[in-house]
Amino acid sequence: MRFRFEAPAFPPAAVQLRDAVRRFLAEQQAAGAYTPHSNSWMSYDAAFTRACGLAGFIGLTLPREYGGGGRSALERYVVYEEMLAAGAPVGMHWIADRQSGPQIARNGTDVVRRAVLPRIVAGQCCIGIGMSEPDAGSDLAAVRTTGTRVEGGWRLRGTKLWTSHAHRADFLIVLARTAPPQATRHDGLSQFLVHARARGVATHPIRDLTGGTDFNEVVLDDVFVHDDYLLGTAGDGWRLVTQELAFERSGPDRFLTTFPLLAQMVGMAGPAADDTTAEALGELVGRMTALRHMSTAIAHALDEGASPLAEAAIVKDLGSALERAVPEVARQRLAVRPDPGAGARFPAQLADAMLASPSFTLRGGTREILRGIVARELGLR
Amino acid sequence: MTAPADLVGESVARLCAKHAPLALAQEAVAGRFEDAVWDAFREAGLLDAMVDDGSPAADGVGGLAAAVSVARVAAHAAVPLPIVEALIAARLRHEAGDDAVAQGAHVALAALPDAAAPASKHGARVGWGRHASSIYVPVARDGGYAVLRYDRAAATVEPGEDIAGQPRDLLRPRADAQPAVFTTQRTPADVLAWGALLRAAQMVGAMDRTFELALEHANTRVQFGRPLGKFQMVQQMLAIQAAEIAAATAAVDLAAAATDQASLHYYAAVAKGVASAAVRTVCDCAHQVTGAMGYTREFSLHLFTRRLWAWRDDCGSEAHWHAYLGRTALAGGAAGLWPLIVRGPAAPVEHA
Repeated sequence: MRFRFEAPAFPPAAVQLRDAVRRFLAEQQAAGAYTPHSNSWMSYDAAFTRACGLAGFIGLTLPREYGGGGRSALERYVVYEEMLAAGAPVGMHWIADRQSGPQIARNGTDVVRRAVLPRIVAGQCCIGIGMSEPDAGSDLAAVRTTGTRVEGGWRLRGTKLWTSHAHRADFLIVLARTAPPQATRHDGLSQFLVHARARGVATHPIRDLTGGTDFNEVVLDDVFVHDDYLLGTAGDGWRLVTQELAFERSGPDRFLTTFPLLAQMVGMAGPAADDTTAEALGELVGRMTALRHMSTAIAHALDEGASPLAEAAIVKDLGSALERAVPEVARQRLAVRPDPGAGARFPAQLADAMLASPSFTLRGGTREILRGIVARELGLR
Repeated sequence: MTAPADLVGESVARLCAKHAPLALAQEAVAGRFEDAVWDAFREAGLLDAMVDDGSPAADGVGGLAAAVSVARVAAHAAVPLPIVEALIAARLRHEAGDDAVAQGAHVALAALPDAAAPASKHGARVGWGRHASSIYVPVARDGGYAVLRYDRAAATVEPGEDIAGQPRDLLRPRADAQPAVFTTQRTPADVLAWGALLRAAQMVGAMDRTFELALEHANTRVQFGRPLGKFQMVQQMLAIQAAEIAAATAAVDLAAAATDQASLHYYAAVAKGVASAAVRTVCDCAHQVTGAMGYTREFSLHLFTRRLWAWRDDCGSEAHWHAYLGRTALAGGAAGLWPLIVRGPAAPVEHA
């Protein structure tokens, strides 16, 4: 098989780090800082993110000279998975830590790195992703937002859609067309770091089916961006976006979203559970074990400088299906009815997870797009 | 997987290319024992791949990665022989210190525990049992454990076959049978876990080949003026297959790297559960893509899909292993689930 997931050996430092994160999470819970819940990497909690920053749990892979930890992707992985398994509200810094920070570290100017990376590390910076548009969803190269060269910088015009946290973000990373397509549609695109509260940026929340307003429409009306805030070089945006996706699609956030539910289900079913229930839970546990292995293998590959896009697509495709299977097993095997009125108790958490579940197989690339990436790797496209 | 195991896999692939081309499996009379291929495996030392090097650090799991490679690559070539039964028999014989067995043409096979029908004094199903010279049976005995060695002549053979047409014979010891008894630490549950892992390894090899055949067909078969593989629906089906196989492969690799018996039981359960569950999707997609051609005996796909349908029920189906994983998780409670997923169980959970 052409897709291999090489088993990494976690370094001793990662083992110590895991203990430190567990202690931190136990303290936070004991102090009542948060209640464990599913989909916690979308939960915006500025106080919790600040606490993570102070404890040194953000920006582990960012360069030391910008305040980062200078550590491996595997070590960062340990922090991520412990946070998600414990259902901690890491939403404010999640995107910055997962992909925007590393993107800025790789392709930002020194000015931008100094301005932004230390703030991310400190847990004082939220970044939103400005990729999708009204007419450019899965077909990202169809973006119509334009960047026009002006003295000292660029002027951005266009509308971005589905940008999570945009209404409370400090920065947005915006993909815009800065030149007409050349050989391919992927030419002529550029990525910019934009101040979310710059003149000309207007954010309109969009109510999703859960009733929440995490994502937004962002209108960019002649927004000035200084030259220093172009990421990489003009016209290199598609490569930057693609590179980001291996980070975006392979992590524990792609299969642990409903883990807090699963852990409770195991506790509720108990050792006296019937065989059918044990079997249904065991299937989820087995698949999760295999997926975690695959996901750590990708973290390891990232450390080695690889960019395993198809492998990441496979992890996200299988992982998001698993996330969606967890609430189904709760309904069918534990006979729990989702109940939004149950306060913080399990039936309410189940209701939240049910309602959020369509997003699992959409956000970060639909499963059909992911399979298209795998098909391309197989030489079919 | 470690580099030495990959080297083993490469030598199996070379051997299969030379001695066991697909035509051999295709033309083989069902159940005929291919002596020349067997001798090639034996003389290359490959049937001893699972014999532990005896290092204390290996804690009884040495040799697993190499055995996994042999099983997987041989299954990719559809080698029509009881490779896994022989690998495990060699390991049991070695652990028992049983050196009384003649070498050469001797065929030693293990009776792999069957989760649904455990071995008893009334007999056991043994893959390719009719061709065995001796059979190794792990049993619980006198409050401990033993491995029994029966000469084939000491048993009656009731021929049977699996859905792939491979022998799956019921061997019943005659009333006067006197097996050699070797007391051991090795439990039937340990042997079941080995069998499950090595069957899962075979399944990964066979699923890889199943996928390759479907992909090749999609690239070459033209309908509506273009290759099937240019249709998006077909691309998606192939991508789904590839993802399922990737998960099964990762699960087998994870189990092959187990460092102690407790984690081996857990990861073997994950491997067999994930691999067995993948069969339905993988075979279904491959047969849909290859259409009526893939449904013939002439097209070689059936050599792999039929074996997969047989192997998924051997040494515990996905239902068995998922229930085992569920029991393991339930024993640890809510707080134990995350540590279980990260590093496996602290101690093996008894089989029901």
